[in-house]
Amino acid sequence: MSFYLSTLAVYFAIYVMSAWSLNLQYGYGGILNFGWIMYQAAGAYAAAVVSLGADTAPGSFQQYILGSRLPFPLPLLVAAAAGALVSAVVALATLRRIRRDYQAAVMLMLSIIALQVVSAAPAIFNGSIGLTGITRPLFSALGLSLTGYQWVYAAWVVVLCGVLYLLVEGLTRSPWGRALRSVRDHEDAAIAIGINGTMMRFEAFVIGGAIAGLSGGLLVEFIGAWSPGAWSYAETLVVFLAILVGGVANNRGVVFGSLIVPVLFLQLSQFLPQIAYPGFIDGVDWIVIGLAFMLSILLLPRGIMPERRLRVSRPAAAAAPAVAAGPAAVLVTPALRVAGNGPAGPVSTIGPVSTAEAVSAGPRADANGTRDVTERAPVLSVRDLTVRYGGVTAVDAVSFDVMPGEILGLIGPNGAGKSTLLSAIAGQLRPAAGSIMLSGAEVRRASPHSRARHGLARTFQLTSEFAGLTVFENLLVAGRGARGASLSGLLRSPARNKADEQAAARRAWALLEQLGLEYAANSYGRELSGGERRLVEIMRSLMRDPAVLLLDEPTVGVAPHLLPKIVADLRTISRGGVALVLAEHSLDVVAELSDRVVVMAGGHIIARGSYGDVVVQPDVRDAYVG
Amino acid sequence: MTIFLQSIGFGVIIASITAIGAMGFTLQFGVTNVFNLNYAAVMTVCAFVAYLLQSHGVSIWVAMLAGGAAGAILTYLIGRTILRAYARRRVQIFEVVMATLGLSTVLSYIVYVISRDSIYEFSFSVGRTVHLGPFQATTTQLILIVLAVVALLAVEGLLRLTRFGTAVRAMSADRDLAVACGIAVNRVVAAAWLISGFLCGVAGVAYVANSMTVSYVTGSLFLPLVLSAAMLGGVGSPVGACLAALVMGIVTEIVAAYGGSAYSTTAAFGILVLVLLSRPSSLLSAGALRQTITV
Repeated sequence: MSFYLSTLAVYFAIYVMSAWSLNLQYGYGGILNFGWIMYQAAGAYAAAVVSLGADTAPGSFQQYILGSRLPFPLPLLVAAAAGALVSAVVALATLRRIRRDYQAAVMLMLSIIALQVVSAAPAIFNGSIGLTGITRPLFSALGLSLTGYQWVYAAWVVVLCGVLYLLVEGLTRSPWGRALRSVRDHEDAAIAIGINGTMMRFEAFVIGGAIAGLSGGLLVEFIGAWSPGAWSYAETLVVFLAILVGGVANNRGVVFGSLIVPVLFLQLSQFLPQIAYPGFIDGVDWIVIGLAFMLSILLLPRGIMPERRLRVSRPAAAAAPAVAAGPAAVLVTPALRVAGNGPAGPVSTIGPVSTAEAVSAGPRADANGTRDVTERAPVLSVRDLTVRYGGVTAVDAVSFDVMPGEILGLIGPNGAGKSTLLSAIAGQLRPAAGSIMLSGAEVRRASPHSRARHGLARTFQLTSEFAGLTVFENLLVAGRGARGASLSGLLRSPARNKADEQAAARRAWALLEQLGLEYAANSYGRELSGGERRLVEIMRSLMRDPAVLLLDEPTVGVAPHLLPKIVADLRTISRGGVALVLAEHSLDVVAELSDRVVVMAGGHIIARGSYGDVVVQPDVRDAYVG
Repeated sequence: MTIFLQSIGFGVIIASITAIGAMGFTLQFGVTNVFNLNYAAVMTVCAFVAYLLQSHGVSIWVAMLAGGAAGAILTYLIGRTILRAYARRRVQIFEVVMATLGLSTVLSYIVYVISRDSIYEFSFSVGRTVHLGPFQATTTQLILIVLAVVALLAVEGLLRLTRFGTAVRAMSADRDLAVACGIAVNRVVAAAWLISGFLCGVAGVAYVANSMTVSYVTGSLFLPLVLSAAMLGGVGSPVGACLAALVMGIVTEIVAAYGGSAYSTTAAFGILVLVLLSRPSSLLSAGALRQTITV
């Protein structure tokens, strides 16, 4: 009994590790790794061959590659490295920006194919028979009874689990984890706030792969054998189910899930007396696993213990100025004076926070707070920009400038090329020709996230809030920029990270107050109304003090009573020195806000000037009426 | 040289079988937007239906028709009951693919339990071996090639010449617009389940008629080829699926001839990865971007 329980303890701990590994990829990263078991297998095979010694040694009866005999615990490190390496190779090939269901299918097929290759090629890992005879590490050195050794091994795996828990929990709660979740929820929007989405998913995938490899190494050292029978694709489902039952993106929940699914369910069924024929109960187990998997997706997609909601409350110090000045009063001029005197932007602002930060555009605001657009260089300058879809030229040699603090209305009938133009400027689409100068630098070939880091922000026609992040996190994630979001930045300077985080939090609170959304700080993006989502999106794009904000239909999906509020907010933002490019269907909104208007039709600019001037032009009327 | 030409011949045979399955998959996916991993299990079930009939003395070709019918019915029922339940709860598109994987596991292991985890061998005669220049094939294999050509012509004819085909193509291109134009979505989807299910069943039987063995993993062994061809060929394009199947079949057989069978499937996957790397837009075609399913 003691023997059995110790075995169970080892399995449980290894399943918990497995679930953390896959949860990092699926729960936090949104990567449907249907081939997860392959990375565990990679670790298991790797640990096996580096423990077994050379396959040419006398008495060796198996064929395999890379045979050697490394001392404990090196095989485990090799296992983790193998998992990471295989993951990295697969990630480079498949973690493209394709539909997630395609990606999942590709990963599934890859694991099936790998299984076929390993089974059919005996020279790699002894083919379909698999490897056996892997000795338990330090078994003779410890000189314990078998059961005693089992408990020592269980304790060792549990210790590793503890270390891993600190690692995954630390990672997923860090700014890096937050950025990863934002990529999961809306990759385009994450890129638009400066996050390198591809890199984030790559990192999550490889770290998950390393943990999977380690779990495989621990498993093979315990069992002493590994063969293709141990890693059919369905094994991945067990780990998935543990996550779905326990809690998606909840590292404690999946511990519970691992207890229920692989341990209690699969192990207890081994105690049933044999029914029908050997293998019958296994088959029924798999049927039940598959059914449970389907049902949990249908009824409980976030698990029994869903992702833990970040609850924040407004720091007391920050609330004071708002009460003193009254929300309406702080929106305009006083704010700009403060901002102009300060060094630059919120990162360097220390001490009590005022709402001023929210409105300021940092260094780009005029020092005296007045708007003097004419004497300054354009902050965004587009020349002869051309975008083609196949044979269709959607944007044809378009040129315009936008000055700091200016609102440029971009109007035109459906299909005029407005959204395409914005996407080309922001970098989601690659233009065929032309130039895009952002604050004096050519960015035409820059990636969208690096454009974002250079002061370009955008909103999307369909609101792009991060549904699984709270409103507060939606803002924080945008405030961090490259440093806290990248893994290397996270590790390099904890102190600076903390300062960045605090600065971002202050800015977030200031914006929440300015746009009157403090009450929703702890709501998930998915819990908001259409107008609230739009506000979150606008606030998010302001977190990093953009020089230019591209707004794609900001009033779509907004309840009519919120419309004046959004219009007023946009005006305030522009007075802070941010250049706005406003693609909008509602001509009332354009008339109300725009300093200048550019009219597009069929990919060309057909008129430009003040709103009053252009709407009376016959070309413009023709374009609209047809 | 002879080996090279022979492997091209074998490649065409594999391609014919794959193409039948890939056409069904691409048609189904184009209309419903369900990335149906359960396709594998349905192929397995149909292969077993055919095995049961054939082992009781029914001709393999009749058994293949029966397998197709079983596939049509099973696919239709699953689409109309199980997948509808998911559509009603508005689960996300990636959760649908998870559900189909779960369903595939359930069906496969039902087969596992019933088949007692055994491999069954077909016993019909494959006919005599025909030599055409350097190529050689059994009569059965020649019929399979003809079958694939007939299936391609039938599917293309259906898509190009009938009102149903126009509706299917419209749905593949832009579902919302198609609905707005008054296409009877319900009927088109029903027909898509039936036709694609039929092709799925026939493909499953064709696969085992060529390999002569069937077990509960048959479908999942065949799935990578079918899915790769369907993805390579482009969503909703039967001709594309057939061309992709042809390329993959020939390349895998050539690799198998020179490098050993272990690497033939790797080659197939290599092609798929190359496409993912070079033409990701082929997987992002307008019709495939929508985020809801129509079942």
